[in-house]
Amino acid sequence: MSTCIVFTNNFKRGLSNKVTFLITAFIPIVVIILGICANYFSQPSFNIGLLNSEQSDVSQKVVQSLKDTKGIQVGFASSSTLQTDLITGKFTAVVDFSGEEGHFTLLSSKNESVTKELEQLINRYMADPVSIIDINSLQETSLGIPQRTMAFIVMVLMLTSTVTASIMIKDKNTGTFTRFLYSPQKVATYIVGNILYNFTISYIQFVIAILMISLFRVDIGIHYYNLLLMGIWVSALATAFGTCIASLFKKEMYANLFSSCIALVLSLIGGTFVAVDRMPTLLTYISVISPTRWVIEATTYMEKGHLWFSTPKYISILTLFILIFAIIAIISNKKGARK
Amino acid sequence: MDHFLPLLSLGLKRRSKDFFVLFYSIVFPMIVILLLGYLSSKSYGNVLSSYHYYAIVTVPFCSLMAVSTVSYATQDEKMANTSLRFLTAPITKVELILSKLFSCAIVLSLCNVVTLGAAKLLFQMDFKGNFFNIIILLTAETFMVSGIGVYLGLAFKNLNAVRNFLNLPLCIFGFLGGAFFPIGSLNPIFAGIINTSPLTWVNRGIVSSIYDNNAQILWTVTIIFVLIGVIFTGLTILFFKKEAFK
Repeated sequence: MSTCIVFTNNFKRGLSNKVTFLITAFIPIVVIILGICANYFSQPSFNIGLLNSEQSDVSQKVVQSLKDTKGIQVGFASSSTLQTDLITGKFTAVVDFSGEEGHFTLLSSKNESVTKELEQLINRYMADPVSIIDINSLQETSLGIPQRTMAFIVMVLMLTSTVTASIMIKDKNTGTFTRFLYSPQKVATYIVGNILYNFTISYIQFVIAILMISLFRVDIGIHYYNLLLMGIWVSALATAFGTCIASLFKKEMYANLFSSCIALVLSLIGGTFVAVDRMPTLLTYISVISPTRWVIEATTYMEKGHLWFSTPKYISILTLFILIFAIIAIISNKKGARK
Repeated sequence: MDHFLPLLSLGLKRRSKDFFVLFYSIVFPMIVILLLGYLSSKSYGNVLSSYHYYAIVTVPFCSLMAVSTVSYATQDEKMANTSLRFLTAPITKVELILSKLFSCAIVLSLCNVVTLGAAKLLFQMDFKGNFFNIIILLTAETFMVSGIGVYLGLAFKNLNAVRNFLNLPLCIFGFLGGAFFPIGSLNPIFAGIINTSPLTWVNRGIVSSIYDNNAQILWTVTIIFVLIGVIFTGLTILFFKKEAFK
Protein backbone atom coordinates (compact mmCIF):
# COMPACT_ATOMS: atom_id res chain seq x y z
CA MET A 1 0.00 0.00 0.00
CA SER A 2 2.72 2.48 0.96
CA THR A 3 4.65 1.43 -2.12
CA CYS A 4 1.61 2.39 -4.23
CA ILE A 5 1.47 5.76 -2.48
CA VAL A 6 5.13 6.44 -3.36
CA PHE A 7 4.45 5.22 -6.90
CA THR A 8 1.40 7.45 -7.51
CA ASN A 9 2.95 10.40 -5.74
CA ASN A 10 5.95 10.31 -8.08
CA PHE A 11 3.60 10.37 -11.05
CA LYS A 12 1.72 13.34 -9.61
CA ARG A 13 4.97 15.21 -9.05
CA GLY A 14 6.17 14.39 -12.54
CA LEU A 15 2.93 15.49 -14.14
CA SER A 16 2.90 18.78 -12.19
CA ASN A 17 5.46 20.05 -14.71
CA LYS A 18 4.03 18.64 -17.91
CA VAL A 19 6.65 20.09 -20.29
CA THR A 20 9.57 18.57 -18.39
CA PHE A 21 7.71 15.28 -17.97
CA LEU A 22 6.95 15.04 -21.69
CA ILE A 23 10.54 15.85 -22.66
CA THR A 24 11.81 13.32 -20.09
CA ALA A 25 9.41 10.70 -21.44
CA PHE A 26 9.74 11.21 -25.18
CA ILE A 27 13.40 12.00 -25.82
CA PRO A 28 14.53 8.43 -24.90
CA ILE A 29 11.84 7.02 -27.23
CA VAL A 30 13.15 9.12 -30.13
CA VAL A 31 16.74 8.14 -29.35
CA ILE A 32 15.84 4.43 -29.16
CA ILE A 33 13.97 4.59 -32.48
CA LEU A 34 16.88 6.40 -34.16
CA GLY A 35 19.33 3.88 -32.71
CA ILE A 36 17.27 0.93 -33.92
CA CYS A 37 17.00 2.43 -37.42
CA ALA A 38 20.72 3.28 -37.51
CA ASN A 39 21.64 -0.27 -36.50
CA TYR A 40 19.19 -1.70 -39.03
CA PHE A 41 20.49 0.36 -41.95
CA SER A 42 24.21 0.23 -41.14
CA GLN A 43 25.18 -3.23 -42.32
CA PRO A 44 28.83 -4.11 -41.64
CA SER A 45 30.84 -3.56 -44.80
CA PHE A 46 34.32 -3.00 -46.16
CA ASN A 47 35.03 0.25 -47.94
CA ILE A 48 37.80 -0.16 -50.47
CA GLY A 49 39.39 2.91 -52.00
CA LEU A 50 40.97 3.12 -55.44
CA LEU A 51 44.02 5.31 -55.53
CA ASN A 52 44.25 5.71 -59.26
CA SER A 53 41.21 6.51 -61.38
CA GLU A 54 42.87 5.27 -64.58
CA GLN A 55 42.85 1.50 -64.67
CA SER A 56 43.68 -1.30 -67.01
CA ASP A 57 41.08 -3.77 -68.28
CA VAL A 58 42.13 -6.36 -65.71
CA SER A 59 41.89 -3.98 -62.81
CA GLN A 60 38.54 -2.65 -64.06
CA LYS A 61 37.15 -6.19 -63.98
CA VAL A 62 38.53 -6.70 -60.49
CA VAL A 63 36.96 -3.42 -59.37
CA GLN A 64 33.63 -4.50 -60.82
CA SER A 65 33.86 -7.84 -58.98
CA LEU A 66 34.58 -5.99 -55.76
CA LYS A 67 31.54 -3.77 -56.32
CA ASP A 68 29.40 -6.88 -56.92
CA THR A 69 30.60 -8.52 -53.69
CA LYS A 70 28.09 -8.27 -50.88
CA GLY A 71 29.58 -6.32 -48.00
CA ILE A 72 32.09 -4.35 -50.07
CA GLN A 73 31.74 -0.76 -51.25
CA VAL A 74 34.23 0.84 -53.61
CA GLY A 75 35.12 4.51 -53.91
CA PHE A 76 37.98 6.74 -55.04
CA ALA A 77 40.71 7.68 -52.57
CA SER A 78 42.99 10.69 -52.58
CA SER A 79 46.73 10.40 -51.93
CA SER A 80 46.71 13.67 -49.95
CA THR A 81 44.27 12.23 -47.37
CA LEU A 82 45.27 8.59 -47.67
CA GLN A 83 46.33 7.87 -44.09
CA THR A 84 43.49 9.99 -42.68
CA ASP A 85 40.89 8.05 -44.68
CA LEU A 86 42.38 4.72 -43.59
CA ILE A 87 42.70 5.60 -39.91
CA THR A 88 39.30 7.31 -39.54
CA GLY A 89 37.56 4.37 -41.19
CA LYS A 90 36.42 5.97 -44.44
CA PHE A 91 38.31 3.16 -46.18
CA THR A 92 39.19 -0.24 -44.76
CA ALA A 93 41.91 -0.55 -47.39
CA VAL A 94 43.19 1.38 -50.40
CA VAL A 95 44.29 -0.39 -53.56
CA ASP A 96 46.67 1.04 -56.13
CA PHE A 97 46.58 -0.68 -59.54
CA SER A 98 48.93 1.83 -61.19
CA GLY A 99 51.93 -0.54 -61.24
CA GLU A 100 52.54 -3.38 -63.64
CA GLU A 101 49.61 -5.17 -65.20
CA GLY A 102 48.31 -7.80 -62.77
CA HIS A 103 50.04 -6.22 -59.77
CA PHE A 104 48.62 -4.04 -57.08
CA THR A 105 49.55 -2.44 -53.79
CA LEU A 106 47.18 -2.70 -50.82
CA LEU A 107 47.39 -0.25 -47.94
CA SER A 108 45.44 -0.70 -44.73
CA SER A 109 45.58 0.28 -41.05
CA LYS A 110 44.00 -3.05 -40.10
CA ASN A 111 45.86 -6.07 -38.79
CA GLU A 112 47.88 -8.45 -40.91
CA SER A 113 45.20 -11.14 -41.19
CA VAL A 114 42.57 -8.75 -42.61
CA THR A 115 45.12 -7.25 -45.00
CA LYS A 116 46.20 -10.72 -46.22
CA GLU A 117 42.61 -11.85 -46.73
CA LEU A 118 41.84 -8.73 -48.77
CA GLU A 119 44.96 -9.31 -50.85
CA GLN A 120 43.90 -12.92 -51.42
CA LEU A 121 40.42 -11.74 -52.40
CA ILE A 122 41.80 -9.34 -54.99
CA ASN A 123 44.22 -11.99 -56.30
CA ARG A 124 41.31 -14.42 -56.72
CA TYR A 125 39.30 -11.80 -58.57
CA MET A 126 42.30 -11.12 -60.81
CA ALA A 127 42.43 -14.81 -61.68
CA ASP A 128 38.64 -15.19 -61.96
CA PRO A 129 36.63 -11.95 -61.88
CA VAL A 130 33.34 -13.73 -62.56
CA SER A 131 32.93 -15.84 -59.39
CA ILE A 132 31.83 -13.56 -56.57
CA ILE A 133 33.15 -14.60 -53.16
CA ASP A 134 31.40 -14.56 -49.76
CA ILE A 135 33.45 -12.41 -47.39
CA ASN A 136 31.67 -13.14 -44.12
CA SER A 137 34.88 -14.51 -42.61
CA LEU A 138 36.43 -11.07 -42.91
CA GLN A 139 33.89 -9.43 -40.62
CA GLU A 140 35.67 -8.59 -37.38
CA THR A 141 32.67 -8.53 -35.14
CA SER A 142 30.09 -11.28 -35.05
CA LEU A 143 27.46 -8.90 -33.63
CA GLY A 144 24.38 -8.80 -35.82
CA ILE A 145 21.64 -6.19 -35.96
CA PRO A 146 19.53 -7.57 -33.06
CA GLN A 147 22.52 -7.76 -30.71
CA ARG A 148 23.74 -4.25 -31.49
CA THR A 149 20.20 -2.92 -31.20
CA MET A 150 19.54 -4.50 -27.80
CA ALA A 151 22.96 -3.43 -26.47
CA PHE A 152 22.19 0.13 -27.58
CA ILE A 153 18.73 0.04 -25.97
CA VAL A 154 20.21 -1.24 -22.68
CA MET A 155 22.74 1.61 -22.64
CA VAL A 156 20.13 4.28 -23.42
CA LEU A 157 17.67 2.95 -20.83
CA MET A 158 20.45 2.87 -18.21
CA LEU A 159 21.16 6.54 -18.84
CA THR A 160 17.54 7.63 -18.90
CA SER A 161 16.60 5.54 -15.85
CA THR A 162 19.29 7.32 -13.85
CA VAL A 163 17.74 10.63 -14.88
CA THR A 164 14.31 9.44 -13.72
CA ALA A 165 15.78 8.00 -10.51
CA SER A 166 17.41 11.32 -9.66
CA ILE A 167 14.05 12.23 -8.10
CA MET A 168 15.42 10.35 -5.09
CA ILE A 169 18.39 12.72 -4.91
CA LYS A 170 16.02 15.68 -5.01
CA ASP A 171 13.99 14.09 -2.20
CA LYS A 172 17.11 13.75 -0.05
CA ASN A 173 18.27 17.30 -0.74
CA THR A 174 14.87 18.89 -0.05
CA GLY A 175 14.16 16.85 3.10
CA THR A 176 11.28 14.86 1.61
CA PHE A 177 13.11 11.59 2.25
CA THR A 178 13.72 12.59 5.88
CA ARG A 179 10.02 13.32 6.35
CA PHE A 180 9.23 9.93 4.80
CA LEU A 181 11.53 8.22 7.29
CA TYR A 182 9.79 9.94 10.22
CA SER A 183 6.64 8.14 9.13
CA PRO A 184 6.29 4.45 10.10
CA GLN A 185 7.64 3.31 6.74
CA LYS A 186 10.72 1.42 5.71
CA VAL A 187 13.46 2.51 3.36
CA ALA A 188 12.74 -0.54 1.20
CA THR A 189 9.16 0.73 0.66
CA TYR A 190 10.49 4.02 -0.66
CA ILE A 191 13.03 2.30 -2.93
CA VAL A 192 10.54 -0.22 -4.31
CA GLY A 193 7.99 2.54 -4.95
CA ASN A 194 10.59 4.53 -6.90
CA ILE A 195 11.74 1.45 -8.79
CA LEU A 196 8.14 0.69 -9.80
CA TYR A 197 7.65 4.27 -10.99
CA ASN A 198 10.91 4.24 -12.92
CA PHE A 199 10.21 0.79 -14.36
CA THR A 200 6.77 1.85 -15.58
CA ILE A 201 8.23 4.86 -17.40
CA SER A 202 11.12 2.81 -18.89
CA TYR A 203 8.92 -0.05 -20.06
CA ILE A 204 6.35 2.29 -21.62
CA GLN A 205 9.21 4.02 -23.49
CA PHE A 206 10.51 0.63 -24.65
CA VAL A 207 7.07 -0.55 -25.77
CA ILE A 208 6.31 2.68 -27.66
CA ALA A 209 9.70 2.49 -29.41
CA ILE A 210 9.10 -1.15 -30.42
CA LEU A 211 5.55 -0.34 -31.58
CA MET A 212 6.83 2.57 -33.69
CA ILE A 213 9.44 0.43 -35.44
CA SER A 214 6.88 -2.34 -36.00
CA LEU A 215 4.64 0.24 -37.67
CA PHE A 216 7.51 1.11 -40.01
CA ARG A 217 8.01 -2.65 -40.56
CA VAL A 218 11.63 -2.57 -39.48
CA ASP A 219 12.57 -6.19 -38.76
CA ILE A 220 15.44 -6.41 -36.29
CA GLY A 221 15.51 -10.20 -36.35
CA ILE A 222 13.56 -11.07 -33.20
CA HIS A 223 9.83 -11.64 -32.93
CA TYR A 224 8.01 -8.70 -31.33
CA TYR A 225 6.43 -10.96 -28.70
CA ASN A 226 9.90 -12.03 -27.54
CA LEU A 227 11.07 -8.41 -27.65
CA LEU A 228 8.24 -7.24 -25.42
CA LEU A 229 8.89 -10.01 -22.89
CA MET A 230 12.63 -9.38 -22.95
CA GLY A 231 11.85 -5.68 -22.56
CA ILE A 232 10.40 -6.36 -19.10
CA TRP A 233 13.76 -7.64 -17.87
CA VAL A 234 15.78 -5.05 -19.78
CA SER A 235 13.66 -2.20 -18.35
CA ALA A 236 13.86 -3.67 -14.86
CA LEU A 237 17.64 -4.01 -15.20
CA ALA A 238 18.03 -0.42 -16.38
CA THR A 239 15.68 0.79 -13.63
CA ALA A 240 17.56 -1.06 -10.88
CA PHE A 241 20.85 0.28 -12.28
CA GLY A 242 19.55 3.86 -12.33
CA THR A 243 18.15 3.55 -8.81
CA CYS A 244 21.44 2.11 -7.56
CA ILE A 245 23.45 4.97 -9.07
CA ALA A 246 21.01 7.60 -7.76
CA SER A 247 21.27 6.06 -4.28
CA LEU A 248 25.06 6.16 -4.27
CA PHE A 249 25.49 9.86 -5.10
CA LYS A 250 24.36 12.98 -3.30
CA LYS A 251 24.27 15.26 -6.36
CA GLU A 252 22.33 14.86 -9.58
CA MET A 253 25.35 15.90 -11.64
CA TYR A 254 27.51 13.14 -10.19
CA ALA A 255 24.77 10.53 -10.65
CA ASN A 256 24.08 11.47 -14.28
CA LEU A 257 27.69 11.72 -15.33
CA PHE A 258 28.85 8.62 -13.45
CA SER A 259 25.97 6.64 -14.93
CA SER A 260 27.27 7.59 -18.40
CA CYS A 261 30.76 6.43 -17.46
CA ILE A 262 29.63 3.16 -15.92
CA ALA A 263 27.04 2.37 -18.62
CA LEU A 264 29.69 2.98 -21.29
CA VAL A 265 32.28 0.79 -19.57
CA LEU A 266 29.72 -2.00 -19.02
CA SER A 267 28.78 -1.78 -22.72
CA LEU A 268 32.44 -1.93 -23.76
CA ILE A 269 33.31 -4.96 -21.66
CA GLY A 270 29.93 -6.54 -22.42
CA GLY A 271 30.78 -6.91 -26.09
CA THR A 272 28.88 -4.05 -27.73
CA PHE A 273 31.80 -2.89 -29.88
CA VAL A 274 34.00 -5.97 -29.99
CA ALA A 275 32.30 -9.35 -29.71
CA VAL A 276 33.13 -11.30 -26.55
CA ASP A 277 34.57 -14.20 -28.53
CA ARG A 278 37.05 -11.81 -30.18
CA MET A 279 38.20 -10.14 -26.97
CA PRO A 280 41.45 -10.93 -25.17
CA THR A 281 40.93 -13.85 -22.77
CA LEU A 282 41.22 -11.77 -19.60
CA LEU A 283 38.47 -9.42 -20.72
CA THR A 284 36.27 -12.38 -21.63
CA TYR A 285 36.30 -13.38 -17.95
CA ILE A 286 35.77 -9.79 -16.77
CA SER A 287 32.81 -9.37 -19.15
CA VAL A 288 30.82 -11.77 -16.94
CA ILE A 289 30.08 -8.85 -14.60
CA SER A 290 28.51 -6.81 -17.39
CA PRO A 291 24.72 -7.24 -17.78
CA THR A 292 25.11 -6.08 -21.40
CA ARG A 293 26.98 -9.30 -22.21
CA TRP A 294 24.02 -11.41 -21.02
CA VAL A 295 21.50 -9.27 -22.88
CA ILE A 296 23.55 -9.78 -26.07
CA GLU A 297 23.77 -13.56 -25.44
CA ALA A 298 20.03 -13.75 -24.76
CA THR A 299 19.39 -11.86 -28.00
CA THR A 300 21.62 -14.29 -29.93
CA TYR A 301 19.69 -17.18 -28.37
CA MET A 302 16.31 -15.73 -29.41
CA GLU A 303 17.58 -14.86 -32.88
CA LYS A 304 17.92 -18.61 -33.47
CA GLY A 305 14.16 -18.93 -33.02
CA HIS A 306 13.87 -19.76 -29.32
CA LEU A 307 11.27 -18.15 -27.10
CA TRP A 308 12.14 -15.92 -24.15
CA PHE A 309 10.82 -18.43 -21.59
CA SER A 310 12.36 -21.49 -23.24
CA THR A 311 15.42 -21.32 -21.00
CA PRO A 312 15.69 -20.03 -17.42
CA LYS A 313 19.42 -19.20 -17.83
CA TYR A 314 19.19 -15.61 -19.07
CA ILE A 315 16.09 -14.79 -17.03
CA SER A 316 17.91 -15.95 -13.86
CA ILE A 317 21.10 -14.04 -14.65
CA LEU A 318 19.29 -10.79 -15.47
CA THR A 319 17.06 -11.19 -12.40
CA LEU A 320 20.19 -11.65 -10.29
CA PHE A 321 21.65 -8.40 -11.63
CA ILE A 322 18.35 -6.63 -10.90
CA LEU A 323 18.35 -7.91 -7.32
CA ILE A 324 22.01 -6.96 -6.79
CA PHE A 325 21.42 -3.38 -7.97
CA ALA A 326 18.23 -3.11 -5.88
CA ILE A 327 19.93 -4.43 -2.74
CA ILE A 328 22.84 -2.00 -3.18
CA ALA A 329 20.29 0.83 -3.51
CA ILE A 330 18.43 -0.24 -0.35
CA ILE A 331 21.63 -0.64 1.70
CA SER A 332 22.98 2.70 0.48
CA ASN A 333 19.77 4.50 1.40
CA LYS A 334 19.63 2.79 4.82
CA LYS A 335 23.16 3.97 5.56
CA GLY A 336 22.22 7.48 4.47
CA ALA A 337 19.08 7.34 6.63
CA ARG A 338 21.12 6.37 9.72
CA LYS A 339 23.36 9.41 9.20
CA MET B 1 36.38 44.56 -14.99
CA ASP B 2 37.82 45.11 -11.49
CA HIS B 3 36.11 42.04 -10.14
CA PHE B 4 36.91 39.72 -13.01
CA LEU B 5 40.28 38.51 -11.71
CA PRO B 6 39.06 37.66 -8.15
CA LEU B 7 36.07 35.83 -9.64
CA LEU B 8 38.33 34.02 -12.10
CA SER B 9 40.68 33.05 -9.29
CA LEU B 10 37.76 31.75 -7.23
CA GLY B 11 36.45 29.76 -10.21
CA LEU B 12 39.88 28.29 -10.91
CA LYS B 13 40.31 27.18 -7.29
CA ARG B 14 36.87 25.59 -7.27
CA ARG B 15 37.29 23.74 -10.56
CA SER B 16 40.82 22.55 -9.81
CA LYS B 17 39.72 21.13 -6.43
CA ASP B 18 36.65 19.45 -7.85
CA PHE B 19 37.44 15.74 -7.72
CA PHE B 20 34.73 14.99 -10.22
CA VAL B 21 36.07 17.36 -12.88
CA LEU B 22 39.53 15.84 -12.53
CA PHE B 23 38.13 12.29 -12.62
CA TYR B 24 35.93 12.95 -15.64
CA SER B 25 38.61 14.83 -17.57
CA ILE B 26 41.72 12.80 -16.77
CA VAL B 27 41.00 9.43 -15.15
CA PHE B 28 37.92 8.46 -17.18
CA PRO B 29 39.57 9.17 -20.58
CA MET B 30 42.61 7.12 -19.54
CA ILE B 31 40.37 4.22 -18.49
CA VAL B 32 38.52 4.34 -21.81
CA ILE B 33 41.78 4.55 -23.80
CA LEU B 34 43.23 1.57 -21.94
CA LEU B 35 40.03 -0.46 -22.16
CA LEU B 36 39.25 0.21 -25.82
CA GLY B 37 42.93 0.00 -26.74
CA TYR B 38 43.21 -3.42 -25.08
CA LEU B 39 39.87 -4.63 -26.53
CA SER B 40 40.84 -3.83 -30.09
CA SER B 41 44.59 -4.36 -29.84
CA LYS B 42 44.42 -7.28 -32.28
CA SER B 43 42.58 -5.26 -34.92
CA TYR B 44 45.31 -2.76 -35.71
CA GLY B 45 48.39 -3.09 -37.90
CA ASN B 46 51.64 -1.20 -38.27
CA VAL B 47 50.43 2.28 -39.14
CA LEU B 48 49.23 2.97 -35.62
CA SER B 49 48.30 0.89 -32.60
CA SER B 50 44.84 0.74 -31.05
CA TYR B 51 46.12 2.73 -28.07
CA HIS B 52 47.29 5.53 -30.37
CA TYR B 53 43.94 5.63 -32.14
CA TYR B 54 41.91 5.75 -28.95
CA ALA B 55 44.20 8.34 -27.37
CA ILE B 56 43.52 10.57 -30.39
CA VAL B 57 39.73 10.14 -30.39
CA THR B 58 38.94 9.80 -26.67
CA VAL B 59 40.39 13.08 -25.45
CA PRO B 60 38.23 15.26 -27.78
CA PHE B 61 35.18 13.09 -26.95
CA CYS B 62 35.63 13.55 -23.20
CA SER B 63 36.22 17.29 -23.77
CA LEU B 64 32.88 17.49 -25.54
CA MET B 65 31.16 15.58 -22.73
CA ALA B 66 32.31 18.32 -20.36
CA VAL B 67 29.37 20.47 -21.55
CA SER B 68 27.27 18.93 -18.78
CA THR B 69 29.99 19.56 -16.18
CA VAL B 70 30.28 23.22 -17.18
CA SER B 71 26.50 23.72 -17.12
CA TYR B 72 26.42 22.37 -13.56
CA ALA B 73 29.49 24.42 -12.59
CA THR B 74 27.75 27.66 -13.59
CA GLN B 75 25.06 26.91 -11.04
CA ASP B 76 27.43 26.36 -8.11
CA GLU B 77 26.15 29.44 -6.32
CA LYS B 78 22.52 28.52 -6.94
CA MET B 79 23.08 25.07 -5.45
CA ALA B 80 24.97 26.49 -2.48
CA ASN B 81 22.32 29.21 -1.91
CA THR B 82 24.95 31.94 -2.13
CA SER B 83 23.78 33.48 -5.40
CA LEU B 84 22.02 36.31 -3.54
CA ARG B 85 25.44 37.66 -2.55
CA PHE B 86 26.35 37.92 -6.25
CA LEU B 87 23.13 39.77 -6.95
CA THR B 88 23.84 42.38 -4.32
CA ALA B 89 27.58 42.67 -5.04
CA PRO B 90 28.79 45.27 -7.58
CA ILE B 91 29.65 42.59 -10.11
CA THR B 92 28.60 43.07 -13.70
CA LYS B 93 27.08 40.13 -15.54
CA VAL B 94 29.93 40.25 -18.07
CA GLU B 95 32.47 39.74 -15.28
CA LEU B 96 30.41 36.89 -13.86
CA ILE B 97 29.97 35.16 -17.21
CA LEU B 98 33.57 35.56 -18.35
CA SER B 99 34.96 34.38 -15.03
CA LYS B 100 32.92 31.18 -15.25
CA LEU B 101 33.79 30.70 -18.91
CA PHE B 102 37.53 31.13 -18.52
CA SER B 103 37.83 29.24 -15.23
CA CYS B 104 36.16 26.19 -16.78
CA ALA B 105 38.06 26.53 -20.06
CA ILE B 106 41.46 26.86 -18.38
CA VAL B 107 41.04 23.93 -15.99
CA LEU B 108 39.56 21.62 -18.64
CA SER B 109 42.32 22.58 -21.10
CA LEU B 110 44.97 21.76 -18.51
CA CYS B 111 43.27 18.40 -17.95
CA ASN B 112 43.49 17.76 -21.70
CA VAL B 113 47.20 18.58 -21.69
CA VAL B 114 47.77 16.18 -18.78
CA THR B 115 45.75 13.37 -20.43
CA LEU B 116 47.38 13.77 -23.82
CA GLY B 117 50.82 14.08 -22.25
CA ALA B 118 50.22 10.93 -20.20
CA ALA B 119 49.05 9.08 -23.32
CA LYS B 120 52.15 10.28 -25.21
CA LEU B 121 54.43 8.94 -22.48
CA LEU B 122 52.57 5.71 -21.73
CA PHE B 123 51.98 4.61 -25.30
CA GLN B 124 55.07 6.30 -26.79
CA MET B 125 52.99 8.21 -29.29
CA ASP B 126 54.77 10.19 -31.95
CA PHE B 127 52.87 13.35 -32.84
CA LYS B 128 55.49 14.29 -35.46
CA GLY B 129 55.85 17.82 -34.16
CA ASN B 130 52.09 18.44 -33.97
CA PHE B 131 51.62 18.09 -30.21
CA PHE B 132 51.16 21.81 -29.56
CA ASN B 133 48.93 22.27 -32.61
CA ILE B 134 46.68 19.53 -31.24
CA ILE B 135 46.69 21.15 -27.80
CA ILE B 136 45.57 24.42 -29.42
CA LEU B 137 42.73 22.57 -31.20
CA LEU B 138 41.65 20.90 -27.95
CA THR B 139 41.83 24.24 -26.14
CA ALA B 140 39.59 25.78 -28.79
CA GLU B 141 37.20 22.85 -28.36
CA THR B 142 37.22 23.36 -24.59
CA PHE B 143 36.53 27.08 -25.10
CA MET B 144 33.55 26.21 -27.30
CA VAL B 145 32.32 23.61 -24.82
CA SER B 146 32.65 26.09 -21.96
CA GLY B 147 30.80 28.73 -23.99
CA ILE B 148 27.93 26.33 -24.67
CA GLY B 149 27.92 25.07 -21.08
CA VAL B 150 27.84 28.59 -19.64
CA TYR B 151 25.00 29.51 -22.00
CA LEU B 152 23.01 26.43 -20.96
CA GLY B 153 23.73 27.04 -17.30
CA LEU B 154 23.00 30.75 -17.15
CA ALA B 155 20.80 31.82 -20.02
CA PHE B 156 18.86 28.79 -21.16
CA LYS B 157 15.33 28.24 -19.93
CA ASN B 158 14.12 24.72 -19.08
CA LEU B 159 17.71 23.67 -18.49
CA ASN B 160 16.66 20.93 -16.07
CA ALA B 161 14.64 19.20 -18.76
CA VAL B 162 17.45 19.36 -21.32
CA ARG B 163 20.51 18.87 -19.14
CA ASN B 164 19.59 15.35 -18.12
CA PHE B 165 19.63 14.25 -21.75
CA LEU B 166 22.68 16.20 -22.89
CA ASN B 167 24.76 13.05 -22.69
CA LEU B 168 22.66 11.25 -25.29
CA PRO B 169 23.40 13.54 -28.28
CA LEU B 170 27.00 13.85 -27.09
CA CYS B 171 27.38 10.04 -27.10
CA ILE B 172 25.81 9.99 -30.57
CA PHE B 173 28.33 12.62 -31.74
CA GLY B 174 31.07 10.50 -30.21
CA PHE B 175 29.81 7.41 -32.03
CA LEU B 176 29.59 9.26 -35.37
CA GLY B 177 33.01 10.81 -34.83
CA GLY B 178 34.66 7.41 -34.36
CA ALA B 179 35.22 7.59 -30.59
CA PHE B 180 34.19 3.92 -30.13
CA PHE B 181 35.42 2.47 -33.41
CA PRO B 182 36.43 3.95 -36.78
CA ILE B 183 33.27 4.69 -38.72
CA GLY B 184 32.97 5.75 -42.30
CA SER B 185 30.63 5.31 -45.22
CA LEU B 186 30.70 5.84 -48.95
CA ASN B 187 26.93 6.27 -48.97
CA PRO B 188 26.42 10.04 -49.36
CA ILE B 189 23.54 10.12 -46.86
CA PHE B 190 25.43 8.29 -44.14
CA ALA B 191 28.59 10.22 -44.91
CA GLY B 192 26.57 13.42 -44.49
CA ILE B 193 25.21 12.23 -41.14
CA ILE B 194 28.72 11.33 -39.98
CA ASN B 195 29.91 14.81 -40.99
CA THR B 196 27.33 16.47 -38.71
CA SER B 197 29.37 15.43 -35.70
CA PRO B 198 31.99 17.99 -34.65
CA LEU B 199 34.15 15.11 -33.44
CA THR B 200 34.39 13.78 -37.01
CA TRP B 201 36.20 16.96 -37.99
CA VAL B 202 38.30 17.15 -34.84
CA ASN B 203 39.53 13.59 -35.31
CA ARG B 204 40.15 14.07 -39.02
CA GLY B 205 42.06 17.29 -38.25
CA ILE B 206 44.29 15.58 -35.70
CA VAL B 207 44.92 12.47 -37.80
CA SER B 208 45.59 14.39 -41.01
CA SER B 209 48.06 16.71 -39.26
CA ILE B 210 50.01 13.76 -37.82
CA TYR B 211 49.81 11.15 -40.57
CA ASP B 212 49.22 13.15 -43.75
CA ASN B 213 51.22 16.23 -42.71
CA ASN B 214 48.24 18.45 -43.50
CA ALA B 215 47.07 20.82 -40.77
CA GLN B 216 44.44 22.65 -42.82
CA ILE B 217 41.45 20.87 -41.28
CA LEU B 218 42.96 21.29 -37.81
CA TRP B 219 43.29 25.08 -38.12
CA THR B 220 39.89 25.47 -39.82
CA VAL B 221 38.18 23.54 -37.05
CA THR B 222 40.10 25.53 -34.40
CA ILE B 223 38.87 28.83 -35.84
CA ILE B 224 35.29 27.55 -36.10
CA PHE B 225 35.33 26.37 -32.48
CA VAL B 226 36.63 29.72 -31.26
CA LEU B 227 33.91 31.52 -33.23
CA ILE B 228 31.19 29.25 -31.82
CA GLY B 229 32.54 29.83 -28.32
CA VAL B 230 32.47 33.60 -28.87
CA ILE B 231 28.92 33.44 -30.28
CA PHE B 232 27.60 31.47 -27.32
CA THR B 233 29.37 33.77 -24.90
CA GLY B 234 27.74 36.72 -26.66
CA LEU B 235 24.34 35.03 -26.43
CA THR B 236 24.87 34.39 -22.73
CA ILE B 237 25.73 38.03 -22.10
CA LEU B 238 22.67 39.05 -24.10
CA PHE B 239 20.14 36.74 -22.45
CA PHE B 240 21.49 36.28 -18.94
CA LYS B 241 19.45 38.02 -16.28
CA LYS B 242 21.03 38.37 -12.89
CA GLU B 243 17.60 38.03 -11.27
CA ALA B 244 17.32 34.51 -12.71
CA PHE B 245 20.68 33.61 -11.15
CA LYS B 246 19.01 33.12 -7.76
